[in-house]
Amino acid sequence: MNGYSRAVLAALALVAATFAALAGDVAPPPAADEVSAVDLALWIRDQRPRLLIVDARPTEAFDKDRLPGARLLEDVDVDALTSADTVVVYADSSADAGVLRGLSRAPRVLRLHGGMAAWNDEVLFPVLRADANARQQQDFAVRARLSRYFGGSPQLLDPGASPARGRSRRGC
Amino acid sequence: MSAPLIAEGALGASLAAAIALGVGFGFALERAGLGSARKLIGQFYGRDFTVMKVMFSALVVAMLGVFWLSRFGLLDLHAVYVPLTYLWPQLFGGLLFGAGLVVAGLCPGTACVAAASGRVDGVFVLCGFFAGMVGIGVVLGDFADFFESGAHGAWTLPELTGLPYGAVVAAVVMLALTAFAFAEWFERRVR
Repeated sequence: MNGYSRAVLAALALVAATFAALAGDVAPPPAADEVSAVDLALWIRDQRPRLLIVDARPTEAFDKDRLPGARLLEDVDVDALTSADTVVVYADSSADAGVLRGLSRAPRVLRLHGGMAAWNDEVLFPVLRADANARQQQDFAVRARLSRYFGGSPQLLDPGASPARGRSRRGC
Repeated sequence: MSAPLIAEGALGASLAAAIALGVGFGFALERAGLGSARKLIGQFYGRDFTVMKVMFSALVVAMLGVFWLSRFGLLDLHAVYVPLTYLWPQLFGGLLFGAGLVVAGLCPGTACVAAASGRVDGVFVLCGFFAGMVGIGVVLGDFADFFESGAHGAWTLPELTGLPYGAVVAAVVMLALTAFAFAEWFERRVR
């Protein structure tokens, strides 16, 4: 490989790394029509006015477990939609486009990023490693308060108590 | 659709993918000249840093690939297995591995490449490798406490440092590019 090719590859790696540093998190960010579970939790806790939360899952799932203040999709009428300022709709993972079309009368419709699974993982049951540093513990304390507010339970993970030793390792 | 494309437990597909990736990895090692013990051992004399350049390049490509594929929603990072960290046995194993690499001039992967390309030293290193595996299997029970010591589970650099994932990726890439530049300079100086 000649010097020119090496310089181009090094420059490409540098550009990709710089954008990675700017991007920060490895997880895809919420789309323009999505709200994260933690942000939604803060809206609910702060009693954001004219917020309507819609559950797009089957009735059985709604009866078993739902977000605070959520209403079942089939129970939401036009009056409720037009009087709301922001409508947040959620499903098990991510609400599909058909559901969003059904709510088109609302002024602003957002999907819950990651759905019910994200709510459980990020709001109700956040996890802290036992070997976390002071800053991570400080950040977690905020999440833990939010979790307890909604009746969740912050989890402490003991990484040394892993259930099984790792699978085969790759050599060089 | 997002990766991993092969479901966990699909043994046949997993083995087929492992064989294809292994052959590809071996081909890349052979093309880089790493089937030659002389080339590998050159690193320890400061004459030839090909091993470091090839391995660090592979690491940087994989790391950037994993980061951006996950960021664009094409890879589910939660489904990717992270080998568990056992600090003390792995530190000891790393030192032992390094000593073995200096003595043999080959590591397990390059030994396979050397053997496949007809080099006798590669065959002998592989025999030693398998003998070591059998030996450690026989005495493993006597060292169980040490083997399980320093357990940190699936432990990643972002978790260790508390830095964002992207910042760690950028730091490792910078480290790699600096190491490449230093290696090139050092090779020219030695020659």
